[in-house]
Amino acid sequence: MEHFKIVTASSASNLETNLNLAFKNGYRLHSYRMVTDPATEDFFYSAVLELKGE
Amino acid sequence: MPLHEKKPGESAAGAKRLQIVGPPYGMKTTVASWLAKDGPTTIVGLPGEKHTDILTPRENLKVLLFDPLDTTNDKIDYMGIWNDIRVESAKLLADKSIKHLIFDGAHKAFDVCRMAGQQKHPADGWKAWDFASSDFLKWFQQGIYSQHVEWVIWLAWSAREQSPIEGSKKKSIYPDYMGKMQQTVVGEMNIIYQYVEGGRPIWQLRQTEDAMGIGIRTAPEKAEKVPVRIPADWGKLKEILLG
Repeated sequence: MEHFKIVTASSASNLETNLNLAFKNGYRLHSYRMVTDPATEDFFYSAVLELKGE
Repeated sequence: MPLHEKKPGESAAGAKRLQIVGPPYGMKTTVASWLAKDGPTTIVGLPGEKHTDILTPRENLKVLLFDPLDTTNDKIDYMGIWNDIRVESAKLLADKSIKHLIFDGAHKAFDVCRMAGQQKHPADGWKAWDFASSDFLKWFQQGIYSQHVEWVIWLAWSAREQSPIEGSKKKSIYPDYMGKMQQTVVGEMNIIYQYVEGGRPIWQLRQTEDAMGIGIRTAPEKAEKVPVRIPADWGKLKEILLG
């Protein structure tokens, strides 16, 4: 498995669902943020996960 | 657990528990300090919140500040800081001399709680996240169920979220917390959206499609008369909430 993994979702709630799946696979949260495209103002939520114990 | 019958004229327990959210530069701290005109007010700058100290203490306005977070220190004891927040909150919530207690920067407190979870469970992402979600909610509940302080108010940033309306691609305003907490907190207390228009602070009190995370709860017979937006005015707001 990759040491770092990025998960994204269009909403914070959906991101949490994706995070929980990654946590079950041994990842822990490294960072979390909302990312906005300044041109279109479209946005998504993104988190960087790190494989635990390494 | 005892059961009691609500008496006519008794205001809803949650009417005096509010969260005011809005973008930075939204005058949230300033407007909160106006409560001092209506009785003893204490405002707490939570760890990481940098702008509570714009306020000048005066009669009826006490300003309490946690020391600044030294984020250059990799060994910050976030669990210790989170415990300090819980303990100091409990002390203030037991202080009957306070009429209005305001926690400024609740979104920053969430960061502290999340980091505390990471430190408590360094090798288990799920347990760390679970700690942050459940303990942060317990902190809100400390304030929600407090019997001694009449008004408890939290100030936080707002964030945009995908509209929950099926098929809608619109963005909607919610309090700025991570993950499902963004929506969970809406079920916990009244949420008011504050923004500035023409230099004046405005409060949005009712839910709209572009602000689904906003709304106050009032008796059903009064709800339809609640305006969507009002100029920020504590007297008017208290009238609406307490009817």
